[in-house]
Amino acid sequence: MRRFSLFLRTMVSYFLLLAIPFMTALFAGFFPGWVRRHAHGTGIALTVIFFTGALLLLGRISNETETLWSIPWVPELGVSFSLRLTSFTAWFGVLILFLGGCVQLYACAYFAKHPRLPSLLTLLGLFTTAMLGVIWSDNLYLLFLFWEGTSLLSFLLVGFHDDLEKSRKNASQALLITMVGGASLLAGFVILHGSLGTSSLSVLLSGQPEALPTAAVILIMAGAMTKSAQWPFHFWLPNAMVGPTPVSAYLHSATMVKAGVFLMATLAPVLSAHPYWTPVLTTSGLLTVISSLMRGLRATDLKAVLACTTLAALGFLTILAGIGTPAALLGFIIFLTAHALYKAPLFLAAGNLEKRFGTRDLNQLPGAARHLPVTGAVVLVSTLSLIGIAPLPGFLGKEYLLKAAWAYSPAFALVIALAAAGVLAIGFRIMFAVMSTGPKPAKDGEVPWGMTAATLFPALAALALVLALALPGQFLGNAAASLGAAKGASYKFWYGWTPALLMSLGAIALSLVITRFLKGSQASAVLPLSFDTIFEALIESLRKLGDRVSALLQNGKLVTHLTLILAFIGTISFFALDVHLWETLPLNWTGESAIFLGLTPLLIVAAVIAARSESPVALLVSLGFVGFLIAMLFLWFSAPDLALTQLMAETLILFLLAGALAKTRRVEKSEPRLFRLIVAILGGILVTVLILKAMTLEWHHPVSDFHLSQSKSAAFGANVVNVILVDFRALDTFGEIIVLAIAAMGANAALGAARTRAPLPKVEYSSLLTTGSQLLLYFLLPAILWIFWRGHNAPGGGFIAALLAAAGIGMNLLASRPRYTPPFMLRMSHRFLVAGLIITTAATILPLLAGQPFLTGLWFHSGSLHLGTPLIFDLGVFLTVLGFCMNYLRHFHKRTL
Amino acid sequence: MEIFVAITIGILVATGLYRLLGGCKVDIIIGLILLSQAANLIILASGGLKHNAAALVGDDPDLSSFADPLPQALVLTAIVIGFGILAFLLTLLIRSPK
Repeated sequence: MRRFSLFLRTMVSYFLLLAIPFMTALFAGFFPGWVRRHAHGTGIALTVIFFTGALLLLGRISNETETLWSIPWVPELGVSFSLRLTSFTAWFGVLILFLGGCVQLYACAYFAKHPRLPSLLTLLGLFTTAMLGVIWSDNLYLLFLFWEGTSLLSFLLVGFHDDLEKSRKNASQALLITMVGGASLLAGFVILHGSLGTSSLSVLLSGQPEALPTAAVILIMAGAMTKSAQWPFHFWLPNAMVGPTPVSAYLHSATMVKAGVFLMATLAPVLSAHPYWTPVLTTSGLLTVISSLMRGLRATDLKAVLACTTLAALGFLTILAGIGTPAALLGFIIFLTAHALYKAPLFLAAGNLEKRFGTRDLNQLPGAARHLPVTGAVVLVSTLSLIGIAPLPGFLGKEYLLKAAWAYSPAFALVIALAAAGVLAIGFRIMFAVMSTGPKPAKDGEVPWGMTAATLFPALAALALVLALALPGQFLGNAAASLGAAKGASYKFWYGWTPALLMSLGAIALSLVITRFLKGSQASAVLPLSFDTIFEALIESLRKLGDRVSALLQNGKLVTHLTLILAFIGTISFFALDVHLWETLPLNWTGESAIFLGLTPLLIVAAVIAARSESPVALLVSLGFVGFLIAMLFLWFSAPDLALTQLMAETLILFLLAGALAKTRRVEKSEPRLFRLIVAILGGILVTVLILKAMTLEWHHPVSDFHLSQSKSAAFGANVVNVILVDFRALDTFGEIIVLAIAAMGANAALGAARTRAPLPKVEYSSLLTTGSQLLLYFLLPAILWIFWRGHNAPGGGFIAALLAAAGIGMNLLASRPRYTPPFMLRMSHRFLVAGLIITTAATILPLLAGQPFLTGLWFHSGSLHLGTPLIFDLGVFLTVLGFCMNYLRHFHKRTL
Repeated sequence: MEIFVAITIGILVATGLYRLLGGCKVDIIIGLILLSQAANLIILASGGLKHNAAALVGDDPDLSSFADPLPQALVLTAIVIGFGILAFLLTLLIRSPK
């Protein structure tokens, strides 16, 4: 027995309870065929699972202490996966799981033949998990994630009938509003976290901070108000009725819209200290109540009427959370519970009536109760609870609401009593429509037993709740205390002749008058919500603005895009320059500068020719000059490795460019030259100024100093540049040669294999060139080996050696030596590429085998000879680069001819 | 001598931009070649320019007497990668419709 109870306690681990709906969702998602074949069985199984979860949680609500369960997630950002279970959140969880079970049973019966039943069940399961996550999260960011999850899933649920345009439109409206609210909520959480230093809800609630950031309070209120559809964001909720009936029942009763008021009530004990909290929430709540009642009294569609009462109830709950006193929070829980337990069966009953009679119009449903007795009884009980008739839970909700409001301000309580009269009038309308006598409706559909049962369960639960509250034992007292109500509080049905009771009696009298008065005007058309129109106009104008901006910025011309990007970068850099903060430029005009008198003008002339030239030959020559002169600059500025690399790369670039330009036709240009010139000159001036600015700064370079000081002693190489490439920063080089290998494959994909099979053109060559180029390669070979070998200690290394070898092979291709056929080149380049990658990878992995970290250099010493894995790495680099170059040379060489 | 280098780079950028805005595919490739040459020089210049101070060190180097090797290593890989990108762009140029 003890072991069993231990087992039970483990089962109640809320993490498991969070996982259960998720698992059912996965099951329905992965076995859709099974679900479709056994729709009723699935419904029963889901109900049993969900009810079991609810029962397990029910045992938890009498506990006073809160439990925390936490694992770190992103500790640097204050994000952890932590759950918090108090008596209140356990009770809320019971409601969610219980109603979730009813709704899934209903859905299985309602959509028994629908092909998308499995996806509906999946969405409902995921939605339950997200909702449980919202109420159980202890971490604000985790709460936000679940919060967004409910928004997204409710979008999919409301838009379930995705073949209807109205359904899609209303679902996206709900999504837009709740997502904007979610963003606002996140911003509020971040500010709150930043100023109070904690992202844990339990820590936040454990004390009253000295100062609350106003921005955070406003943003959080806005987020909660969008979710709970409070004025001025109230219009999305009635529109969201386009969702299937079980979805509406779930969204309106225990989930989705309740997340907003849940957050308000949870934070109320702390945030109600802020001067904006109470006025904003009570005003918004009251406006929601009034506007929804005006609408509800006119509507004739049963679901629309119910949606309006949901809005009104949410308004009342917002008012209670806004008042935020212990008495108000006491009322909050009973109101929330009562609402969940009458709204779900009412929505489900509306679905039953529609299934049976084919209509939801109140005027066409006379005598419905007599033909559908169980549903009729449920509607009766639930409506009595809705209008707050003793002893149903709704009565308690209304009494405690009026009590809290009276304590806050008697005048305000009177306004709420008036609103309660409106709710009563709506309730009477529903009751009279369903109870009155009338002819049997034309359509006679079948209501499956699953739907009836699912409708009946919550109504029975409401009656059971009455019993539990009437028994001694303070049912829900701990829940209220854990939310912030006074300790030891409990719910009583009779307090004597209090102002609240008198007001609610007055409201009943008033509502009877309203009902009588409204009898004739029921058929008047439902006015469209003005907010709806405003919202649509707003979205439409946003879309038009977007179109205009795109038309302006993206006219399909590359030049426009480039100019815009350049202009933007230029403007930003210009304002960031702060010219007045500059130090004087170092104009050290020494004898060494003399070389620039010759070099710079040449480079400028070559660059200008390259910019203006139209003929391929002039382009090649001028570009070659530019590259060559820059190599000279590198050499001058103590970078011999760069100079060598640049020379070799330039040679190969010219080779490829010659091949590409030879066959490319020029197109007529329409761009104005003056415009190009202005952009170019401005860009040039900007870059010049930026470089001068950069040069006035003397950097501290700890990284370079480390490289310089460790190069010889730790990496056994005198040439620091090469040591950086193959040892200190070998990971970068590794990535780079992989990129090269991918680029080589890209060329093969783009140019295709056809080129390798094409016959060589028959051209006569001078035998001198053909023999000479072969000789050149023979002479080059020792030079290549030597340059590769000396790389670690003197200018040279794998990159330069590979480019040199490629240049030699390029010469041979130009001379068209018979050996260098395309298949030979293809074979060799692939071999080199693969061998290079394998060798490089081996060099990086070898240290792992020796128990050292990845890429550590392993060395073998013999006198002044040092051999190590960096040398192997360099060999791999050599082969990869050579293979890459050969691959491109083979694609381009025939075009050169 | 810094002023010369700065002006040279500025002119390279200007010619590169002029060519880049030319409006046809060859222009874009030539423009990118010129711009990447300029970019290599910018990286080298940002590390400080020194004459006759190649980073070929002995056992116990005097750190201030050498040119900064890190920008050089970056530029070396940039030259090779630039070559690779150019080669790929040229294949695209060849394959693209006239």
